[in-house]
Amino acid sequence: MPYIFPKRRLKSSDVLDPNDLNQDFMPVQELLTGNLDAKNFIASDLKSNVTVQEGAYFTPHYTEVEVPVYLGGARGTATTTMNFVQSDGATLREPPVGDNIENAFVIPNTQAWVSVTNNAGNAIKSTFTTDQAVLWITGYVQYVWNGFFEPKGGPGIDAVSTTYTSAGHFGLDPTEFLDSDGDQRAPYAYQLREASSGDENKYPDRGGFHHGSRGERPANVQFAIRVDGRVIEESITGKQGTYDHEPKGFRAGESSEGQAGQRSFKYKVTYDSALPRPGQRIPTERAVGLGPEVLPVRFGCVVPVAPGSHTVEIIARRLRPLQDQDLKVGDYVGVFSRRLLTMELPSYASRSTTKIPPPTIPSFESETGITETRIGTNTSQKLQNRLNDIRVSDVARNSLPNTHLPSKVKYSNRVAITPGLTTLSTGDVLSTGYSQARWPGWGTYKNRVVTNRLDGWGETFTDSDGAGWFMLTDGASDDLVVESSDLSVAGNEFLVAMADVNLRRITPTKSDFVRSLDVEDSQHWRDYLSWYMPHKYLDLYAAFSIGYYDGSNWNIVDAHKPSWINRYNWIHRTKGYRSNDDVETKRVEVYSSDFAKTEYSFTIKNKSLDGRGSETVDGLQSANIPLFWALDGADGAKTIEKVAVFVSSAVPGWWRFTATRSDIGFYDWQYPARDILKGLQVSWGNSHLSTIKVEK
Amino acid sequence: MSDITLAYLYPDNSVLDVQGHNNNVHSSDMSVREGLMSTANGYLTTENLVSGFSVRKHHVMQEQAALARMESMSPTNTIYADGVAEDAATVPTKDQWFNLPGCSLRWYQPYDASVLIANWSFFTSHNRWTGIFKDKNDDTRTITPGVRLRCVIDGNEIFATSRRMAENHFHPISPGAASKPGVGEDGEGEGNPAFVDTEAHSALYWDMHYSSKTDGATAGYHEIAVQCRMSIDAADTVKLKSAGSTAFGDKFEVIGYFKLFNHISLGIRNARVLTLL
Repeated sequence: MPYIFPKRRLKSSDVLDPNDLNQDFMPVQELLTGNLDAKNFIASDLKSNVTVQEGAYFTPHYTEVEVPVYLGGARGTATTTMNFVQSDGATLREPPVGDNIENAFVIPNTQAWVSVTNNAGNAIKSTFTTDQAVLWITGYVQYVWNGFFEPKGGPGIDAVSTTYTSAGHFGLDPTEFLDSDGDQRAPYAYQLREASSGDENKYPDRGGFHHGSRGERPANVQFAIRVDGRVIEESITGKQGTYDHEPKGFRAGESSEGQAGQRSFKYKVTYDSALPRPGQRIPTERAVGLGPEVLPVRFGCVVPVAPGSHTVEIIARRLRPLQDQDLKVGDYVGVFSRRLLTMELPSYASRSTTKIPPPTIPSFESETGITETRIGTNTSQKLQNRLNDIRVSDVARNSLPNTHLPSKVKYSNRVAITPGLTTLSTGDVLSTGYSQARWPGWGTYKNRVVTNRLDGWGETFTDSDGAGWFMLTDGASDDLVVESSDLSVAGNEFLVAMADVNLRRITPTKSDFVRSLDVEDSQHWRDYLSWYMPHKYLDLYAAFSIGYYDGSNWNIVDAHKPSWINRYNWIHRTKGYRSNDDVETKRVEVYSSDFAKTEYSFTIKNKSLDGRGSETVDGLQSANIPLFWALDGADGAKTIEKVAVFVSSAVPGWWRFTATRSDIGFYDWQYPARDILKGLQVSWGNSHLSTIKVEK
Repeated sequence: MSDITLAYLYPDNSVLDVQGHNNNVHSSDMSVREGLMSTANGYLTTENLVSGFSVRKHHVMQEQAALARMESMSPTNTIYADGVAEDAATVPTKDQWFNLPGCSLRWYQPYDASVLIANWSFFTSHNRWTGIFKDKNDDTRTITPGVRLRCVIDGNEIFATSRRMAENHFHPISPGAASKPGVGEDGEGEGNPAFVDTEAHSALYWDMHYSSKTDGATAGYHEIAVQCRMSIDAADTVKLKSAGSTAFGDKFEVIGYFKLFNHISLGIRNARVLTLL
């Protein structure tokens, strides 16, 4: 309402006109018909003192399903892979911890969008009723692509067999893992898929050790937000055209003088055909869905909605490969932990209260007596009392601006780290932010913290040491931690934590045995180093988690499961890498005569060996690890003094221990298990962590 | 502050107190809070509210307590390093960064908010070359052109979001390394055109965020974006030489010269903000 003023100020000599007298009170009465607005109040007073009903600014709708990835145990040889489902796509591995634990949701390979559901078949979704509103939506999922190498015997949760049996726990032949019908002979077991040097020469990008991807093919999975049955296209984590192909980044250039050969007059030529001859056709790539085998994904959108009931949900779909339309055995992607936060922001809300009639005051007419009751008690004092007792319905709809409204943000802070980078003579760039922390498992030590970045791998995993989570640091003085007593969450409060970690590398570290090998020794090449290609292992895992400290303990994995990523970008090699049997070593051949068998001759011949080993180096992963969770005080108030980002890492036991194989001599090293790795070193770059606490 | 208290109560059998009546209607002395109109003209306080009063969502003016915005783009855009404004300078300059389409948002923030939360979500596949090659003059060149991403707010880089994209394209052997001759399909020759290419396998979804009590939270226009920088390290074309094939009868080597460029291919993406009073 506009400001109101009396029509005139009454003077002693004035005739008391009843209309004028009415006009002294009627504007006030009109104000009290639900027309009070910002102009009627002292802004600073309201901003400081007024109470705001829960949900007046925003309403968080949060739901989550926490699912630990399958990794077996953490001690000794017990760590396995993240394979989680049998080849039927339905029989899931027993969750690694506790009872009544939610398990993975397997995305059907149908290309159709489906709701991500829990064990009971219920979708992860939020359903609520709004007025006209805007929804700010953030989703999070952790996915894993089934098909990592796993011994045929099928390790138990607590131990991996290190004994090579005649049944072939660690065989290389892919057919060993499939019966004549093409089904798996042993659940969760997949062949190693180490490419021969000849195969790799033809298909050098198929070197990663994953049954489905071979380090080259993508997981081809997409996630999105669906609101009221409509897929929000802006939130899809892939490309719009699921069959799009994009040309590679090169083009034919000018030849030098006297050189022939940009085109072939006779044959269609291409840059990378199986029979390669250079030419001008540029190959293309279909990259339309997420690629890595293990990846956490955060995504979101802003969606305006009309008044009514709404359902927000996370959906997923698996796109089919083009090159061979048949998916491989056990080729499934599972969704593990999933979180969905919808902030409902009312934009034009309906009245939430019944309108109360304004005070009834008598009107003055000619000859009406001016009595204490009429103008005092029934008029001016009624209005006074009502102005001293303003109801919710007296304040106009859509009337209070920010100047009159208190903040509901109780705390917010963002911390960042910028680790230093050092360029080595090899050209590698190393970060000062790194850790050798070893995953402590889902059991007793699950929340254990290690304080030195060298703690973990290389130490013995004991009840007091050797594994845990390391707080991210810049390697100098700053940790990725927020500290404040204001972080504690009361019953009507809501805390959101978000972090972005720049994962740089997941570096396998050599076992002591490998370190002891002399690369100049040809026998070492023959027996061991030819097989030393750990950088192709895709089952090297790094985990990140936002934990909180309650004053006594860190909670790193209990409330929210960590975010995992595998070492998916395996292709980086030294300039000395060779793709064929071109390491020459000397071999002594002994001849004897047929007749007397007493005369011998010796010939020293060259023998070619596979020279690929020991020439792989670390490449950048460069994925952004998007961490995210929320805590709703309605689920129980929590004392929180610190929130921080932690890292740890896991390696299957068979890369760390040598199997006993009596029937084959030195070649046994080519078979897993191998004493090839000590562990991992995870390094990160620029990263930051935000915490925002609001009153609901 | 206190409730409105009328100073004049119109007692019966008395002459109307004109000044008292006037003050009851509109008082110029706001310290006594006795005028109905004058107090209602902007001097009401929480003292005047009924016990238990609370601001309801229908009271709140639109976007005055929380504001959310999003811009997005769905069509695929592929950007090649030789298609963007960049010279071969090794020292990055401000001009070498360009905005990625569909990842920017400009909005008007009508008041000083308590906190801003910005998110950039975008799908990418890319190729980034690395390796040692010979150029057309037979000079050996190490090629490691970079692709970098960063998020900016109001033109200022958010350092924590700076990302260097991974190398995922290279030859398994280095055609340009003379001491390490490459092999073709039949095991002879120089150079190896087959190359490692895991663009699809390394395709990622990026969701990066930023929160601030000041940047982007103050009243006025603000803009967020994702910027990219792509360099071209190789000044000249590189030589790639096939092993030749017996399909031509005698050995026939075919030499090709190519320029290698990185590219980044953008899928569906959006930029969004949420500001809270």
